[in-house]
Amino acid sequence: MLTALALVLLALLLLGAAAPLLARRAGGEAALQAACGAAAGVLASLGAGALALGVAAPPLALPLASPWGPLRLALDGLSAWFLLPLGLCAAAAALAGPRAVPGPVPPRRLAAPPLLLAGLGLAVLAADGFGLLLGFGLVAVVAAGLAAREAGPAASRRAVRGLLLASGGGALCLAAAFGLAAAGGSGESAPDFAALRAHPPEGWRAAAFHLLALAGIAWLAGLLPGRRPPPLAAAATAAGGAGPAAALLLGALPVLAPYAAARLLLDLGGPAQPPWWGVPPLLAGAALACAGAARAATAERDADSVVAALAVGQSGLALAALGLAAGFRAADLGPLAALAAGAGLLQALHQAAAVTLLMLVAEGVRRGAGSRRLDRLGGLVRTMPWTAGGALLAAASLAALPPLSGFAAHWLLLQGLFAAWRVGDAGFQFAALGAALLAALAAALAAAALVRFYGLAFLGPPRTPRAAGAAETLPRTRIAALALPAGFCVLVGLVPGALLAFADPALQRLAGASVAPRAGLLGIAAPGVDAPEAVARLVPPAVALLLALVALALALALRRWATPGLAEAPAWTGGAMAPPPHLPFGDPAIQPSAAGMAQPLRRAALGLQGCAAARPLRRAPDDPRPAVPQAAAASWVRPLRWARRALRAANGLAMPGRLRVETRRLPVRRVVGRLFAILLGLLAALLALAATG
Amino acid sequence: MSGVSGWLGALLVQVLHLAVMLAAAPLLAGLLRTAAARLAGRRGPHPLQPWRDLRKLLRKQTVAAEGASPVARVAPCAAVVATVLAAALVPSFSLGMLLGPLADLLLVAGLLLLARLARELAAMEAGALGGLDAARGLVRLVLAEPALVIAAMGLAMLAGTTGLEGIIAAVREGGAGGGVARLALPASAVLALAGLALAENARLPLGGAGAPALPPEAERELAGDRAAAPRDASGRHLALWEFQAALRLLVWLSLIAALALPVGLAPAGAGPLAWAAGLLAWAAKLLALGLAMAAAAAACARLPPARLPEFLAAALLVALLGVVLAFGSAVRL
Repeated sequence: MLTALALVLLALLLLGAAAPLLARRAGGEAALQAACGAAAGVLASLGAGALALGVAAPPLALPLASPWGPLRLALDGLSAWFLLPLGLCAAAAALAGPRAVPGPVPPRRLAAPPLLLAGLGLAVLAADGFGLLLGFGLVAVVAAGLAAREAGPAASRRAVRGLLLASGGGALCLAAAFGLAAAGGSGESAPDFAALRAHPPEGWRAAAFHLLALAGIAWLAGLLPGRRPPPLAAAATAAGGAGPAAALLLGALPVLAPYAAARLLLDLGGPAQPPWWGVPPLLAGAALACAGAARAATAERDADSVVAALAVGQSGLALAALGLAAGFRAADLGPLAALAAGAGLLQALHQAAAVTLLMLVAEGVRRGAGSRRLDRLGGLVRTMPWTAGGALLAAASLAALPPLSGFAAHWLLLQGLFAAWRVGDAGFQFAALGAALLAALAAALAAAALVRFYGLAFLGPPRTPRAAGAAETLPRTRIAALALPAGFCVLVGLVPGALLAFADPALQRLAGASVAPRAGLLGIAAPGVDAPEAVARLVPPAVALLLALVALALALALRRWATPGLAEAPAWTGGAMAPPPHLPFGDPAIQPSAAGMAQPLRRAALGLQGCAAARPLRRAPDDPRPAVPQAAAASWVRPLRWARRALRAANGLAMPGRLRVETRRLPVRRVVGRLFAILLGLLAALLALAATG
Repeated sequence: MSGVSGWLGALLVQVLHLAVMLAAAPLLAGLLRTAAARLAGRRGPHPLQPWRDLRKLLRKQTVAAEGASPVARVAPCAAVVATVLAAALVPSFSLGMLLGPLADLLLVAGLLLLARLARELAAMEAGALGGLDAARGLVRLVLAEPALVIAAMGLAMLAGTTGLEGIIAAVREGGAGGGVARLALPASAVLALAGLALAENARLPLGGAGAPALPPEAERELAGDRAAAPRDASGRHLALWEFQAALRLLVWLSLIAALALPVGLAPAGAGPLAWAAGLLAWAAKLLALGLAMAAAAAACARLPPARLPEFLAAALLVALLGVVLAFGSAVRL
């Protein structure tokens, strides 16, 4: 089986090398896409077969040696599971691949998909640090090449520089982590996974390994968002015209972050690590999810940039689930660790399916409506119904709506976070509380981003003539390309329990426990306490069936009691005039726009930051505060002033209903301060009580 | 045999519960409207007026905006379907319903979220003002969701599960005799949920100091983002949206009633007598909650809409307080 996988990777590399030859042939591109799709199918089916049969093959040493030792490949439950999202994404991208526009294709663009797939596959199958770095490096180089090719000169230089810097930094971090672990553990210089597993790092080496590995993974998988778009997302959006490569970069590469984290931190880190081992991925993942979703909801104005930011956020959620699993495992809570790790694995599969679908939709919109700016689209649901349907499914899934895939993954993650207090460590408990807060915020922000995306691109009147004239070209392969990830969105949502049972080898490796008694064919029971009434159940098939039944009843009721038919009238614009004849697509100034839709959210976030911007307006221009010498002279007054202030605060505390609604705007900072003062007081009282009794 | 009869009893309770919920939702909305009017010194409409409105709207012809998409046509149905399923899951007068094992706080929240997003998508179809309404609604959603999840976390820590029946049982146990945290945890969670219910169902008296003194229902109609329906809904679509809003309010109030005051809920496998007592208790709890809400809306000062984020942040902090207290105390389940 490993030999077959190695041959597939080799064939992909050869395909990439042969791309310049194929680019000259007429049917070259189609043949190459077909080969890529077949390779993806072989990868995914071998992974599924390995999971189903439980094959554990010995590592295969390739005849290709690095200076530090041979290059080894291995296939266990974990890498077999992650071959599934990889193959799914690559197969969908290859199906959607052949462009509608005839003409010569630049060979660089043609070579990208097979090389990317080979790099991703190598990273998943590698059995030593060198192979992992080689896979990631191949992906980074191809992405940099694409960005250099597709973007304009200045933008491309910036994108390439950012990408190479991030990848180089990440690779350095990972290499340092491996070196540290290898030097501390087995004494061998080769960062072989089996040797590392036998001698996991300990003490300060473990901490350094952990942090270096986490930083390296985040950089290499292109997850770190900054003020500018993260380099990988920039490369992917720049490569948007290149078809399948962009879908691979956004659908499959972010999935590799949870894979690498699971491999390095959970598998290689060993089960003997303390509970804090889970805290950095937990918090970093949740913060990443929040940042990505916030970026998608407020900052991005292009269809594919929104998808890119969402993809980053989704892999943050998977990282958080894996961190949670590490914490549970450290506290010997095996079943809970299995549930949390299962949440991470489901999230990875869900993310690959939903993000790939949304990326294909964004690309279809760009082809059909000629733009990726949300402000230039609109009304596409009428002219591009298949694309709109796929987008609705992907959006509902990413917004964690029942009974689709996102809800199953989110439900499992939240169940794990809610049970985090069972880990006795107080720091871990507070980290889980913060992560629950951030995860909920991320889900809500993602929902807001998706409503904005879908509403602006597909609903309302068309905003430009080009959007009004949009059309979708749908060869059969393109429908299949949309249907494949859509089917996975529904499948993961409907039978998460069966999938978790299927992923049992991976969960055994990650959590050291099986999820089997809690995951059945139809549903999942959480959090795994044995008392029957204290079990929460997720039975998505029943939810779907009930929704269908209620919908049927509603249809019958409407048919019985409501007047049928639908008349059409000009849209009510709140009393505004009809647009003048020279603006047949409406006045752009009064239409919802991407920036306008984001503005209330930005304003609310600003209000929550304590109105820092508004403060200068309140103070008089000539500051009446005393100058420094006077203040020093009157220092004896200070205790009095403090006492007065404390009295005033106590007054406010005693009457929280008196928030002085009418007179003055109380900054949320002060509300927070008061509530935390109450909290601290109560905690002190509790501690005193505990000390006395 | 007992298994079959128990199953049939659970089915009967479930059907009765759903029928009562569907019938009571517009009635509760009407009662609240009447109460608000009486408190403001007006006569107010008849409590059955929402039902009459629904019947009238269903008979009228539905008008859609030119070129409105299928999304605008399907959205009200999707919202009603999701809310009806949520209503079927939240217990009203009895435990031990057929869908009881399925009733999960996170699932109910997900279904209500589905209805919310359907509403915002339908609003996006309605031109410029619709986009503004949707954007404001999304802000409320983003601010409310963390508070909801943290409140659910508190309840789940108390009960060890997010299943509603388990939570209710745990709250009852805690009420019967428990430490400070066993009481403080559900209290803070329910307080946060109550704040969310006010914000989510547009029951907060919003409006600046200079806002004209309108009756509350007219005020809700004027503020597009808090109205039950998107601006251009009419006919059966408007009826569906109004029904959905009434049902959503009932779901929230039933949830709070079941969590805060779990007295009077008929146990699983009880007979008709216990059901009748449970129905009476449920009606009394709903009336008390509704009247408290109406009285508070009449008595309190108006909240400027820009301060809604702070209101929701306060709800979040209350929920956080409960969870942190539970972390800090040694009293755990």
